[in-house]
Amino acid sequence: MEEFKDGLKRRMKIHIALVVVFAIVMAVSTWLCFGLEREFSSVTNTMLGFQTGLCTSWMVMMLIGIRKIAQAMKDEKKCKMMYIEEHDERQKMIQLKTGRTAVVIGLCAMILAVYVSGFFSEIVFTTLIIVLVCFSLLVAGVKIYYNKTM
Amino acid sequence: MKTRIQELRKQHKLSQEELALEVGVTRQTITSLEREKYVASLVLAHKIAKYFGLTIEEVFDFSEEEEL
Repeated sequence: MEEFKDGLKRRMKIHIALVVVFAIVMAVSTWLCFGLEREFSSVTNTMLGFQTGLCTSWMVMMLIGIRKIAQAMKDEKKCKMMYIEEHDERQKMIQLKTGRTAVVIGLCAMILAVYVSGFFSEIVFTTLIIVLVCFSLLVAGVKIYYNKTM
Repeated sequence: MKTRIQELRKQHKLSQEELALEVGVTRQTITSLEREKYVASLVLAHKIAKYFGLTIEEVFDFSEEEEL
């Protein structure tokens, strides 16, 4: 449990650092967008919207995490509950099965998308083929790694 | 897998939440074990059996697995 508490302190520092990083990224994106807005207005506005949304959602997630960690560090019972929730074997099994199923469905969907895109656009077809090959190699690499380490 | 967890829990007048806290899992895991939707790991089976002062075989029914 003491190890877990030390881990929480480390995690708190990482969360705070990430909030700062995301705030800086957002500020830089906004500055770049408005600096270049006249030349590439529609593209940069879309990109800024995406980046702002992404950074804001990450920041909100980090802030929720900071609040949870702070509460757990103050209250022993909440700390134990957090430890149990994070180390619950059924939850770990659910995560494993979710990942495995998502990979299989993702690969099948990508193969279908490659097939269909072949009728419409060569650029999309080539891009999807590259993504499919990279993703398959990644899955194979991870599988080999776990086969050797377990 | 069939288990005697619910029966033992009622004998000891324990709620699912209390047993879950004692063996270090969530209440949902105890529910899933009792409903035979999830098979406990060896470590969890040992913790549960030890908590009730029984052996693993006395809490968990391995007869279906042995048939294979």
